[in-house]
Amino acid sequence: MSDSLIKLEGVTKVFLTDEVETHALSGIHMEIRKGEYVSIAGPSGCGKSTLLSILGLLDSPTDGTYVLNGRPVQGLSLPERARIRNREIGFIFQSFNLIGDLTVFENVELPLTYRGMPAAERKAAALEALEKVGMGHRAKHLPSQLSGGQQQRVAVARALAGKPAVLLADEPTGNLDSKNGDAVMQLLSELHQGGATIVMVTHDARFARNADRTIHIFDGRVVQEQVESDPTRT
Amino acid sequence: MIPDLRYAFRQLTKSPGFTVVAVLTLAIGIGANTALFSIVNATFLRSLPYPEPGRLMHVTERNRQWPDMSVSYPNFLDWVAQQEVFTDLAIYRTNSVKLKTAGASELVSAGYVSAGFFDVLGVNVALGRALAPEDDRPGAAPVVWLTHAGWQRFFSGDPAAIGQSVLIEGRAYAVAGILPPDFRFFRAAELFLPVAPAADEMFLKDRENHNGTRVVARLKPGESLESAQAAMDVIAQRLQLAWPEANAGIGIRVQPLRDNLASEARSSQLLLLGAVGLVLLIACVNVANMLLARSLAREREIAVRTALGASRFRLVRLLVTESLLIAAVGGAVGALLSLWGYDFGRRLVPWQMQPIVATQSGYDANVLFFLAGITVLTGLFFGLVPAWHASRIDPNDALKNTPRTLRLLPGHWQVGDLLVVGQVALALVLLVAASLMVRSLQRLTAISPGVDPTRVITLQVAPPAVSELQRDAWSHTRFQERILAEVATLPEVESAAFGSALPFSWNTSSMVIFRTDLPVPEAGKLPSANSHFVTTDYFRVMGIPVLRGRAFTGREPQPEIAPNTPISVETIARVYRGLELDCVVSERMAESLWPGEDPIGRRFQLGFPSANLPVARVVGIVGNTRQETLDRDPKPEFYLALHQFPAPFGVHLAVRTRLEPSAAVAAVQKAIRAVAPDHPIHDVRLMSDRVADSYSGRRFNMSLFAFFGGTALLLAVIGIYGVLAFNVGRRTREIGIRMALGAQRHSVLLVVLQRGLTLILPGIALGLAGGWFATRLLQSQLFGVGAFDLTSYIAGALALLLAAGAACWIPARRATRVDPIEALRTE
Repeated sequence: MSDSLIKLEGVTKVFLTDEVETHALSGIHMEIRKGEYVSIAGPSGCGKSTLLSILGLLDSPTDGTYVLNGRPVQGLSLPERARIRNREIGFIFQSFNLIGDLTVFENVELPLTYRGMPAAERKAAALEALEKVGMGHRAKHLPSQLSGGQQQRVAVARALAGKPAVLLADEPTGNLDSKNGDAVMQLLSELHQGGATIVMVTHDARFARNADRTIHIFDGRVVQEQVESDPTRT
Repeated sequence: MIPDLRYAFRQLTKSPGFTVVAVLTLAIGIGANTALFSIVNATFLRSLPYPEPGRLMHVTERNRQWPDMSVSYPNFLDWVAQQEVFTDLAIYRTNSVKLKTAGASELVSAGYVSAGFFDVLGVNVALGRALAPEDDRPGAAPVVWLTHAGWQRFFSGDPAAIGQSVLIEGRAYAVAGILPPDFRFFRAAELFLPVAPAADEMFLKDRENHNGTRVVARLKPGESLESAQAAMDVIAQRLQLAWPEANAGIGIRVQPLRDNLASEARSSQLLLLGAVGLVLLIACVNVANMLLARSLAREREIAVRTALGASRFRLVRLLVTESLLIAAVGGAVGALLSLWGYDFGRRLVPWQMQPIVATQSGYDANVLFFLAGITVLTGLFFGLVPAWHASRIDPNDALKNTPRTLRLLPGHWQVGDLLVVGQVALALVLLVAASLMVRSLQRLTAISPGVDPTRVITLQVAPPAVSELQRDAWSHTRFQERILAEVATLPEVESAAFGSALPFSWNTSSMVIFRTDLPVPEAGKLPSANSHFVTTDYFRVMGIPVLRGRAFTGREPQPEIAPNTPISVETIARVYRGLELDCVVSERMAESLWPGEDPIGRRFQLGFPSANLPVARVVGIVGNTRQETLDRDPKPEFYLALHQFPAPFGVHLAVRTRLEPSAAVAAVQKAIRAVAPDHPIHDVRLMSDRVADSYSGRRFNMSLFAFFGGTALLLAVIGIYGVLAFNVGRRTREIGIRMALGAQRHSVLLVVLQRGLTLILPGIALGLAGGWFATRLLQSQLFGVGAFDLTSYIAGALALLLAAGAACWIPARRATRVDPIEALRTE
């Protein structure tokens, strides 16, 4: 399909620990189109975070193929993976993972510096991303001076700043109270409506329903896919 | 790069404790290395302050016994006449001379030099005229050249000083020239006098006399050290043939001036540079370990950066930027420390080089380059390993909060552990070296100097002018007797005596001797012994035991010397002809000259057979003394009664006091001034200080090794403590679980101590092996102990084990105090 952004075929991930094989993922097949908002759900230990790591090129599959934006990426070298991560993937973590010693602006600017973008362009892009999440007025603050919800907004801005092909969000509301959690989910919905492709791991069914489609993982396998606009199983 | 630098700066200010410890650790290492390099640079690398210093040679004489002898003045004059390899060569000798200034008389250092001296060194006078060949002739008008410092001191820098007279040793000298302010001589001297007019008074005209005179020369362009040596060898052979008695076995040694001035310090300076290099290595390992621990604490940040697309190069660059920044600050602080260290350690510079380096800054381009180089290398060295390992952090694990360690080897070994093992090993090498040096000094100081130095004051009094001696040959003797009589009246004084060559005064003089009852040995095989001229109470004052026979009585007869008789070797030979002098010999001389015989009543001839000097008859045997250093075996020595000789020996007064000698110094000086007001007193020192000064170089080196060993031990202890404390911190939860499961506190204590021992024991084993290789280099610096002295190895290992054990104990105790409930609550 011409609008396919992510395509996994027979992806497996096996961890070897003290000569014991643990199958974290077992033959995952999955396709995500551009502009789609997909949530990945499942119980703890089912393999959803491992899947997100593979999608984010933080980890590589033991077997299977992974095509990102039309290009097979499962066998790339570390520097090439870092380059793709930097340009095509935006991460939003459960625990925000802002760097405490950098200001809000510097945190958002950080992935752009790895891209070698000139300072003026970096500044414009970072400020634009911060304005988009409503945090432009806190650009000079340190993360420790922000609330959890604000920190996650900054993390979203950081993910957005480089205009990635896909945003990967790992339990983005897991460390937030319900009010801030709702606000962040609202922000992701707005971004999606603006055309962003989002893949979100969550085990909160309430938030999973914000996505166009929910993929349920159990024991390292896709056990169910649910299109939110059509509550019947597909 | 700028953002990396800014972030690195922020990181350092964020953790001031970490930064201060890291910076100080490096500052000590970099500062000590830079200070020592400054000394090596000043001694060996920096150009001597003369034009084309590479062409300057030092020329000495040598024989079988002495590889570096003073040069006989007549031989020197022959060299000048015969040589063709030097543009010029000049003789020099330094003496203290009595200078009459406006206020009073004072002793100043003077250089007696031959005509070509300033030309050889390439020095032009700043004021007045140069030293001309006609100034350096017997009977020439007395003239003097002042150094810039001397000119400032004696004439307040007045240009009108040229042509004015100064009284030196009672004679008027016209100031002929002032030397430039940047002129440095490798001996202490404030004024220079032509040597030839004073050659008679200094007994330089006798070919046998090698009396403190040295020669410096400038190679002709195109000549080399080898060609000069070959040419001078030919001259030496000619002189041996021409003067077979005086020059028997005497050769000529040509060496670069720099080597002559500095070579004695080469091994000790290089060893210390090696030791201080080890300290820096240990400091680097310490900081590397601190950074490793910190990189573990920063693994989430590293993981985030990785997730955001930072390449490994960018991560390594960021972390190395931090380490370089720490190194730069450490280098800056180290540079300040090195200024102090250079001043402190400047005594490592050989004494001949001291006047040259005294006014020079320790810093020059070489030192700055070294400082910059060592700072960058240090930053890279301690930064690369932690940076490399931090860049290998798996972002998956880090972002999931999975506890991890940085492993390098399979099993339980981690990078930090290896670094600590290396650190312990390096520290032990230095500790063993320090222990060897301490034991070496202990052995040395346990040696008896042969004198009893307690409660003995020694000093020199400027004697009457030589011109008085010409009028009255016994004027010096009466001068000495007046002083002895006055000093003896002091209640603080037990006894006092004059001696021509006190032990440890570096004033020994040897003389050829031979038995009169045996055939005269052939030239070159004549024995020699150290000669001493002493007054009656000398042995009592110095605590030298009279083993057999007797000491001097004071009634030894003085020969008749008519007034206005010039005092020279010829005079002494004539006056003393046929006279038999009472003589006391040392036990060593008795054994060497009369082996298996009773020497009392035996006779021996003083000087060469042709010199016609008096015969000495042995009246007593005294104990051996060590003359220069404790590590040199006593030489054969003989003593003559000073009052029998009118010659103006440079004598020391030795005073044995009843109580603490330093309390009596002022009274003794006052008593001397009462009878000799115009005679400056100088070189006032306690005999015990002279003995101690003879091994001060060794003691100083030992102190430096001990300091470096102690620093290494401290750094190693900090390293062990840091790793274990960090380990305990990361294992708090595990320890809580163990305790919740019923582990006793002592078993927790043992777990941590065992962990510490697994670092210390391999480190000690490696250190002992390393010491076995490294301490062999120390052999030349040791005395009385071998490089493999077992006690030193055991002492070093025990010291390290105890200190390291203490370092383990603190985190181990902390581990036993972990609250299981609290630990399990915190994940």
